[in-house]
Amino acid sequence: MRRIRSSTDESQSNRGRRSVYSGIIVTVKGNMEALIENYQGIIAYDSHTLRLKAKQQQLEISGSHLVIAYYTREELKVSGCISKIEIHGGDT
Amino acid sequence: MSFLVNYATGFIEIRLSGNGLERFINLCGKRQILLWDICWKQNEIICKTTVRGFKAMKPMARKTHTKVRILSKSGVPFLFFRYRKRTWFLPGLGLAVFLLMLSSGYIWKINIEGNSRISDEKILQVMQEHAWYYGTRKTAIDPEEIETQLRNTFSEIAWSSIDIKGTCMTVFIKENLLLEERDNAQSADSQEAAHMVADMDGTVVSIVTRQGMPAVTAGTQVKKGDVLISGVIPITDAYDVIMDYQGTVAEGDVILRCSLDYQQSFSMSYQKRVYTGRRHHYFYLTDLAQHMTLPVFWNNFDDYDTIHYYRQPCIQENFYLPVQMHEVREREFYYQKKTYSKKEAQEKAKEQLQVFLHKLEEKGIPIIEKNVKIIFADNQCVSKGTIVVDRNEYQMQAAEIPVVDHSEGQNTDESQ
Repeated sequence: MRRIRSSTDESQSNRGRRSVYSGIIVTVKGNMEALIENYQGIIAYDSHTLRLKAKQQQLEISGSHLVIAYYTREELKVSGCISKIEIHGGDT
Repeated sequence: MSFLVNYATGFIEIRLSGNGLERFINLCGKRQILLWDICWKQNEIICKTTVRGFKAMKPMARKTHTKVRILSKSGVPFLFFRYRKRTWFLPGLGLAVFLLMLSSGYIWKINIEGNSRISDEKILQVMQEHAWYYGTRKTAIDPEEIETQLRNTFSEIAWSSIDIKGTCMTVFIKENLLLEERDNAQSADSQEAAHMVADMDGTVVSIVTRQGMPAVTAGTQVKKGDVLISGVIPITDAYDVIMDYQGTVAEGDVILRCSLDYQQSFSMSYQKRVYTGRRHHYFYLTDLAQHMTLPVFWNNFDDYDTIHYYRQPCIQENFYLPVQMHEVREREFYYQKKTYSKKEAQEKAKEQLQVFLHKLEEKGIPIIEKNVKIIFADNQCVSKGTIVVDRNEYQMQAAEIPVVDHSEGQNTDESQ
């Protein structure tokens, strides 16, 4: 666990701020990589879709060859060819 | 880096199948079981986990009716387990690590960079004389001392620096490119007066004098040893009477049109190497000084040529090991007597002439005319003739400064 935390410097520096914030945090690098924080769990996963549950929203990542590079309680990194990211539900 | 840590602690690749795979992954996340490289493949999930994680995920698998199958086990713990019955494996590994650690304290590779006039061998020889060579302890090396020693030994070196990385020592050198000009200037300065004299017979094409008195003009025929620019300058009074002579080192550009004799010959019969197609190819290991060679191979060829390839094994970029790997390729051949046909001989003679002309052009000597004939006589092919070139080369000759006798003039003054 510690290894992955230390590997994401950005998340480490903003941990204090993010622990207060309850919404889902998505960091996208191009169309190849996405880092998701503040989520509760996986609803559905296959090589084309990844649906995640957060406190108030649901996140859907669509694409092809989607691979979960790592999965921990704090964060999840998905790589592959991402074509669409949708957030469903939640207050506006 | 994370791969190295995982490899050191060991990891397992597993295949998950069942209806509640997402739930299983969520439960693993909540129990802090690390999963990575999770990949969906035909209603199954393939992922990797740690040994501890694999042991801890059994209750979750039972709860979610997930089938967990091991695909592969990787890492150091599994490697040791696989070779546990090989008694000498661990001591051998330990010895290898110990030898690696021991050898990391010595220099096993010396690179020299930046030298063009001083050869690597010369620099290495000086370093060897001072015991800064292959196999020297890194702690025994004082970079500043080497730098000073190299600068003192080779006057051409303007700047030097030593860099030691891993087991590789790199000697960076900057040579003084103006040294030759400086030497010439110093030698010229050391002389009081010097003439520029022709080093060959020829005709002066052009003359530009920077220092001294021109002794020839364009079109003048000169012979070897004739003064082109005089280093003795007469000082005259208003009536062109020489009052004194001043000595100087003559300097200028004098282009001489000279005719160079060209003659080359070769025998019409020769021995050609005919390769039989039999080859001998082998590798062996030696220490860096090549005292010991392992293993030794011999061939049974009478005549053969050999190509050696040397390679020093290196871990990563700078960790060279104290052994050299040699690759030897031997090809058997026999000699066959052959004779050049006239056409072949002419082609070869032309090639030789082209090489000669190319060398002249490389020196910056323009070729004005060439008159070379190819003659066949006494089983020999002889190329003979002259090549007319414009040369800007000369010799320096010490000049004597004549002494002007002023006594006559002084006497005249007194008598008045």
